[in-house]
Amino acid sequence: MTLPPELIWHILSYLSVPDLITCSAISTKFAKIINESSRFQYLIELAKSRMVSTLPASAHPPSQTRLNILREREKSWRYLRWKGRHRLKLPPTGSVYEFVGGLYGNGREDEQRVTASVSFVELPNSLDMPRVNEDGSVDLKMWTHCMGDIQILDFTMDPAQDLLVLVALAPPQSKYVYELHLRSLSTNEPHPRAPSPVLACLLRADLPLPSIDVLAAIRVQVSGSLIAFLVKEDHGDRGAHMEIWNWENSPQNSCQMARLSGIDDFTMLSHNTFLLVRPSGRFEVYTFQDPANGSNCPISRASYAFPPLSDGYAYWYITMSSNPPPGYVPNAHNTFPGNNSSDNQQIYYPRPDERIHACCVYISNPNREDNTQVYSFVFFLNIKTFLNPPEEWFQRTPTHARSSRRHPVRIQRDGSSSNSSSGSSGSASSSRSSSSTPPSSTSSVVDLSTLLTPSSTLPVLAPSAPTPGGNPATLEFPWSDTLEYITTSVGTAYQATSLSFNPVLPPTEQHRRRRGGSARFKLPSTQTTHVPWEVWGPQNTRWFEESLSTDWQHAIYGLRTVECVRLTKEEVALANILSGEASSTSHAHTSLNGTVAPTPHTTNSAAATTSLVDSFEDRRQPPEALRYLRLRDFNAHAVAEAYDALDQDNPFITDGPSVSTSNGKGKAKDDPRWHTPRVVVGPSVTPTHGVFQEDIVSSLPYTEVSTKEVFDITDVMMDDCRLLLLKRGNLGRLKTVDVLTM
Amino acid sequence: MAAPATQQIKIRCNDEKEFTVDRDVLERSVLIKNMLEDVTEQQDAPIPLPNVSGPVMAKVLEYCTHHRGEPLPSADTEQSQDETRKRTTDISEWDQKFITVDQEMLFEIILAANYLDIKSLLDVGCKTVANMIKGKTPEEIRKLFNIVNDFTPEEEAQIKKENEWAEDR
Repeated sequence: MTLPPELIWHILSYLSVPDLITCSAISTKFAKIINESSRFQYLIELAKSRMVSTLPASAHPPSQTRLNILREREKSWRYLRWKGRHRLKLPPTGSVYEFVGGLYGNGREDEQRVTASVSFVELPNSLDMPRVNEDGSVDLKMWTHCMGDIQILDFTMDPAQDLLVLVALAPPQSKYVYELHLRSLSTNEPHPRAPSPVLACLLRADLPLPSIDVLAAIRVQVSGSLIAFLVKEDHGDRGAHMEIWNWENSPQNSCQMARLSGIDDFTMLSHNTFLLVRPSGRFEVYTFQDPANGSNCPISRASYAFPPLSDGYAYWYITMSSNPPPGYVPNAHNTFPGNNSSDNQQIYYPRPDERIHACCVYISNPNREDNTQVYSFVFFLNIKTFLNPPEEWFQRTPTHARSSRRHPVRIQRDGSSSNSSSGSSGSASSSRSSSSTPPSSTSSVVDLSTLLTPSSTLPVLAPSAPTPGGNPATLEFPWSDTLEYITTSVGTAYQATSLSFNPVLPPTEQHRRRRGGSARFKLPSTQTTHVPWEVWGPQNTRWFEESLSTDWQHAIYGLRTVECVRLTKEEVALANILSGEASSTSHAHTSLNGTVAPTPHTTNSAAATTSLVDSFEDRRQPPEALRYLRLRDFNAHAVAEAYDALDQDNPFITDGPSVSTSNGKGKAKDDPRWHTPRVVVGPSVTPTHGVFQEDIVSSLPYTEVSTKEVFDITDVMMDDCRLLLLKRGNLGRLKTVDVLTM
Repeated sequence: MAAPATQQIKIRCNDEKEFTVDRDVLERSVLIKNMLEDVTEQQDAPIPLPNVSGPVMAKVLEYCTHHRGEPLPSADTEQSQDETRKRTTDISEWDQKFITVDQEMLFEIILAANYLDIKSLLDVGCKTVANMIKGKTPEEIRKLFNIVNDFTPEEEAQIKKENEWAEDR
C-alpha cells in the first residue's frame, strides 16, 4: 500500500479491535502504525480487559493518559496491590448499603430498624488522589437525605443518572403493598426525568398490610432506563412477583410475571433479558419487550438446571450477585453534580455482555430432624453463556414439555387459594380514581392458574387486529410448567371460571387496547428448552465451597470478584504465636510462608509480614477476626496472558485448585493462599459431602491472587478502581470503612 | 462585492491539465479555500496543484460538484463524528457509486483528498478501504493490496501467539 502512515492510520481508525489485531499481522509497516498509536493500543487493551470506553476517542484525557491509567489499574488488580489507602469519616449508619459508581450510600435506621435517612459519600478515585489528613482520614463530599416521610425497606441508586430508588411500604390507604420512589440523588426531590416519581407494585389482595417483620425478601435493580423489582415471596400467598418498568419513558406500563413456587433471585442480563433463580435449583432466562412499548409478560427462553441434589436435600435459598447492572453507563448523563469535573470520572467500564455472576446456593435436608446443617457453595458464571448459548444446547427434545402434553388439564393450585385474585378484581376499577393511587398503579391480577396448564389452549382475549402505526402489544405466556398467574396493567381483573374462557372486555379496556395497539394472549410458538446441568454447567461454571459466615453478597466488578477470607486454623495459631512473641519478623516470615503458601518470588513479603504482625500487635485484634483478601479474575484473556507469562514449570500454574482434589481425593478446606497470581485452567472437583448426587466438576478458567496483609474487616466491596473494606458491629451496623485505591 | 458563487477559478494539475471551476465548488477543498482567501487581487494565472493529476482531479471535482453547498465540517462536528466513527463505516449511496473505482484510483483519490484537505472525501475513501479490510485474514489483505509480508518467521509466530486472544472473542 503506497499510502503514507497517517492515512493508513486514518483507515485503521474505522476498524474494530479484531480487525486491528489482524492488520498488525500484515506487515511491519502496519504493525508499527498500530503499535505506536496510543489510541489503537488503548482500544486493544480495553478489549483485552473486556472494558468499553465511556468517552469518545478525541475527548479528554488523551489516549496515552487513558492507556496508562488502564494498564496501571489492571496491573494493580492482577497483583492486588493498591496505591492508596484511607479511612472514610462516616455518619452513624445502618445495615442497608449500596456502592455504585464511586458513590457509597448507607441507610441509617431508627429504633424500629426502619431506614430513616440515607447518607452518601462520594469517593475519590486514583486519577485524583484525595488530600489525607494527619489522622489518616480524608475529607469527602458527603450528604444525608432524611426519609422520614416513607418507610424504606431497601434502596438502590445509579449516580450516573442521579437516580435514587427507594423501596418503601405503601401507605395504609393504598391498594398496593410496595412503592418505589424515584428521586434525585443530589436533592432527594422527585427525579426530574421520571414522569411518575412513585411506582406502585403488587396489589394488596384484601390482606391486612403486613408488618415490617414478616415482609418478604425483596430485590431491586436499576439498569439504565429499566427498574426491576422482585418480591421473592408474596405475603398474600401468591408466590413471587417480578415487575419491570421503564421509569423514564413509560412508568404506566410494566412487564410483570409471577411464580407461585417462588423466585429466589433475579438479575438483569441485558436491556431485554433477565435471569430468574428458581428455588428448585435452576436458572430461567426470559426476554421481554421494553415496557415503554406497553405492558407485557416476559417470554421464557430456556431453563438451565443445577446439578441434581441427593434425595431429601433442598435449596434453602439461592442468591445471585453481579455488578454493575447491564444498563449502567458511568456518567452517561452529566446530571449528577458530583460528576461535572474529572473528580470521579470513570473512563471505561466492563462490557455489559461479558460479566461474571456469583450464585450462592444454600442447601439443607429438611427431612432429617437431626440434621440442621446447611451446606453452602458458590459458583461463578459468565453471562455471555446465557446471552449467546450455543445452538447444540437446544437441539434436544424438551422432554419436560412433551410429557405434560399428555395431561390436558393439570390444576396447579388448590381450590382454596385460587380465589386470591377476587379481592383485587372488585376494587380495581372502582377505586382507580382515588387520588391516593399513584398514576402508574392500575395493575390487576388475571388468575388463570386454575384453568391454564402448559397444554391447555390459551384463549384469545382481544381481537388481534393491529392498530395502524401502533406497536401491537403482544402478551405472551412464558410457556413452562410454572405458569401460575399473569398480571397485566389493564385496570380490571378477570376471574377465570371455565375452560371456555372468553371474557368480554369492558369499554374502557377496549378503548385502551385500541389506542395502545392490540393486546392478545397467544400461544407461544416455542416451548422452553430445559438444558440439563451436564450440558451447560461443567464447562461454564467454577464452583467453590462457601463458608456460611461469608456475606452472601459477593463483591463483583465486571469479571473480577473479591472476598475477605478468614485465616485458617493453622494461620490463627501461628498468628497467636507471633503476636505473643513479638520476635524477629524475619523469623516469622519464614514460618508463616512455610505454613500457608510458597511465595519464592515476591519481593515485598517481609514488609507484608510486618504488617501482619503490626495488625496483631497494634490493633489488639484476635487473629480469628482477621481476614485476607482474595481476588479471582475470570477474564479469559487475563487467564491466557498469565498462563503464557508464567514458565510452564512454574508451580503457580495448576490444572485445578491445588488442594482441591483435582485427583478426587482430599478436601479443599484449607486452600493455600496465592500471593502471586496463579492460573487455574483445568477442571476442579468440589466435594459436596453427599449433598449433590455427585461431586461437582467445573472448569471455568480464572486467575487468583491473595493479599499477605490481613485486615480486621467483615465485608468487602469493589468497583473499577477501589476496594471498600467494611467493618461491622452489632446488627450489621457499619463501624469503619477503609478504601484501597488501585 | 462580486457574488463569489459565480466566480470562475482556474487550476492546473501536475500533468498540465487545466480546469476552470466555480469558486464554491473548489472551496470544498480547504487548501484551495485558504489560498483564495489569501489572494487579495484577482489573478488570471491558474492555481498550480503539483500533487494531483488530471484524471484524479476530474474525479475530485465530480465529488465537489455533487456536494457543493453542503456545510463544511467544523471542529465540533468532527468530534461528534469521532464518537460514532467506530460503528459507522456507512457511505451514502451516491458516494458509494462515486468511489467504486479501481484500487489505484482509490488511493489516488485518498491522497488528493488529503492534500487538498477535503475531509468528507478523505473519510469516504478511508472508509472504503476499511470496508475492504474488514473480516479478512492478514494473508487475504496482503493479497488484496499487494503488500509484502516482511516479518521474519519468528516475528510472525510471536504475533500469532500474542493475537490468539482475539480469536475466541
